[in-house]
Amino acid sequence: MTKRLFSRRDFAKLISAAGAATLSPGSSRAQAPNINRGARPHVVIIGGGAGGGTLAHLLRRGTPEIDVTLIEAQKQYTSCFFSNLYFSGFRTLESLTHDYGGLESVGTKMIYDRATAIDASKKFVSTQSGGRISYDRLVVSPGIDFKYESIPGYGEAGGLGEQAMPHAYKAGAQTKLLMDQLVAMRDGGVVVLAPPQNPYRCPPGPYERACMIANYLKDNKPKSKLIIVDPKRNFSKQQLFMQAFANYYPGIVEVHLSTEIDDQSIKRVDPKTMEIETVAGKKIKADVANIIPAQRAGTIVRSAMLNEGDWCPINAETFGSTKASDIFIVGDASIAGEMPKSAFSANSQAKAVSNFLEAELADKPRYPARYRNTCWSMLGPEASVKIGASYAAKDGKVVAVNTFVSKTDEDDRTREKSFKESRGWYAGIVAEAFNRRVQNI
Amino acid sequence: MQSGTRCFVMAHEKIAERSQSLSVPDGVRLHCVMRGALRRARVLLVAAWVVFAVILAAPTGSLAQDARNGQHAFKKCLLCHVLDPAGKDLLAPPLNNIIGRPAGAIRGFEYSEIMKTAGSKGLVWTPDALFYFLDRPEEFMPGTYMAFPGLEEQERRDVIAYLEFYSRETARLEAQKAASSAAPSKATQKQPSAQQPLAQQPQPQKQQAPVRPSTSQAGRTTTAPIQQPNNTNNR
Repeated sequence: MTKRLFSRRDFAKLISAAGAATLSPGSSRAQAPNINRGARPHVVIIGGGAGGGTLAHLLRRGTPEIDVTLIEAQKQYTSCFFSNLYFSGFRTLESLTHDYGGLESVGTKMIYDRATAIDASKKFVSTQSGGRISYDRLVVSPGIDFKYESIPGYGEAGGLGEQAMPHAYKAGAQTKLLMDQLVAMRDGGVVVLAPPQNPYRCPPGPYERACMIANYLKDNKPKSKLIIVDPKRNFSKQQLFMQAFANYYPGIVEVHLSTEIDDQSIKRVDPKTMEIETVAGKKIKADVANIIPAQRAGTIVRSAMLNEGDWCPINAETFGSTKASDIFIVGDASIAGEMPKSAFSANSQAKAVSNFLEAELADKPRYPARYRNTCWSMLGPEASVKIGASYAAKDGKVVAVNTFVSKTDEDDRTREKSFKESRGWYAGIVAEAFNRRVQNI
Repeated sequence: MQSGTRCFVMAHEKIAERSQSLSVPDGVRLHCVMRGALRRARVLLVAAWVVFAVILAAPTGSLAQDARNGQHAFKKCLLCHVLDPAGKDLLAPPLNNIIGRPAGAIRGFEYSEIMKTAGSKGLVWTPDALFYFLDRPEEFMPGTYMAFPGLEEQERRDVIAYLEFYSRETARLEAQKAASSAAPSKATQKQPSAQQPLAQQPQPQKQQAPVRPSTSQAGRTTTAPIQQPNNTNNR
C-alpha cells in the first residue's frame, strides 16, 4: 500500500489528472535542449576519478539515450582516497588501482589521452594526440594540480623536488616512491611532513598520513621521528589527531603549527641536501621528506578560463560553470562552498550533475540537488574517526546542513565501527565510480 | 488482510519505537516522533483519501507516473544494489521485495551494527521507514555502510512507488509461476525489469497488500523480456 505516498499535493494531482485523462505522461515537460535535432546528445567528461567516473556510470546506466565519452590520461586509476593506508601496510597499491573496463561495459566511450584545450564557443575538446571531440555538454572533473612555486627550491613537475621529496598527493608512482624511501630509511631517521596551505584536496589527509607513517615507524623503525611543519594554525579534526599522535605514537610525532608569531610555511627546500627551512627559521635535515605543495584546479580549466584564481566558480544548484555555458565542474576543481575537496564530495556532485543533464537532455524528472560528504581518517589499526555533513544549495551557495564529527576519547569499538564504515564506503565509491567490486579489503 | 489504516498505524509506530530505542541524534528522533504523532492524528483523513485516490487514479495512472519517474531515479541505487535476488558478488542487498522486509535481514551480508540492531528491534522497511531513511541515510542511521547523500522528498516518493510496484509485480509473477507449474505447457515466465520502460507494464494500483497478487492484474502479461540486472561485469 502506498501509505506515506499520499499528501495533499498528491491528492490534488490525482484529481487534476482524473480531469485530464487524455494527458499523456511527461507531455507537460516541454523541453528544447540546445542540441542538434535528431542527434543523440553527447556528454563529454574530462577526468576519470571519483567525480567523472560516477557521472559516466550514472548517465550510461540511467539514460542510455545519452552518449558519454570519458577522456582520461591514464588507463588505470589509483585512488588517492585510502592511499595513506599503504604507508602502514594496511592496503596494497594494487587494491587501490582500478581500470575503466567496468565503465566501458555500460557503454562509456573511453579516450585514453590528455585533454589539452577546451573551446567553449565551438564546443569541442582538443587532446594531446591531436584529437578533437565535440560535445553538447562538457563536464570537467580534472582534480588538482600543484603550485610548485609555493615551495621555493622544490622545482617543477617531474623535477628533483618531486623525486627527492615526493608529495604523494596524486596516488600511484609518487605514493610508491615515498614508501620506498621510508623503507630504505635507517632506524632513527627523521621524516618531515609538510601539509599545504588551504584549500587543498582531502583536508584531513596529511594528518591521517602522519598516523599511518608513524604506525609504520612504530612497528619497524621505532627510534625514528616524524616532524610535521604546517603553514596553517589549525587543521581538520585537530583534537582527534593530536590525541591519536599522543596515544598511539608517543615520542614519534612532533607537530609544529604556525602561530601568530611563528610562520611554519616552508621558506625553501634543498632536494639535494634534504634541508628544509621554515619562514619562522626552523631548519630540519630530513632523511625522508613528504612535501605537499599548495594546489589549484587541474590545468585544463585555464584553457577555457573556467577558473577564478586557483579554482572554478559554479552554480550551487547544478555545478554548471559560471564562466561558460554548457560546461560543468565537478570535484576538487570546483569552488563548492562549504563542501571539502574529497572523493565523496565529487561523487555526490556528479549525482546532481547527472540528474540535471538527464532532465535537460533526455526529459527525465529533475529533483533538487542534495549533497553529502563524510571523510573518514584512520588513526591506527582498525581505528578510524570521521567528519561529515549534508549539504544543500542555499542562496547560491553550497552550505552544510547538518554536521557530525567523531568525539575525542571514543572507545575502541566505536573507532572500529567507523573503520568498518569507511571500508564499506570505499567499496561503494569504487562500485559507483568504476563499476567494479572490491573484495572486502 | 490488514486494513490500510492498521497498516499505516503499525508502520509509523515501528518508526517511533525505533527512534526511541536506538541511538540517533535528538533532532532526528524528535522529527520522527513529531511527524509520527501528526500523522497519527491524520490517519482517518488519510484513509479516506486513499479510498478516493484508488477510485480516481485507477484510470489515469498518476502513481504509475511516480513509479515511472522512480524507475529512473532508482538507477542511482542500482550502482550498488540489484533487484535480482539470485545476483552474486553483490555489494549491497538486493532490493526486490524490500517493502515489508525487516532491516538487515539478508543472510550473508555484512550489515553495519546499527542496521542489524534496527532489524532486531523490529524495524521493517515499510514505505514510511524508507521515506525517512532515504532522506539522509547517515543521519537517520548513523553508522550505516550506505554512504549516500539521500533523496529529495518527491524523488523518495517516486523511488518508493517504483519499489512497491516492483515488489508487487514480482509477487504476482511468482504466484503466476507457481500456478503454471501445475500446467507445465504454459509460456515462459517473465520478470519485470529495471531496464524496461514501465509504460509496457501493468500500472501499479493503490492497494494495501503489496505482496498479494492483484486479481485485476492476474490476467495480464507484461511485455518486458526476461532481463536480469547487469552485474556480470562485477565478477
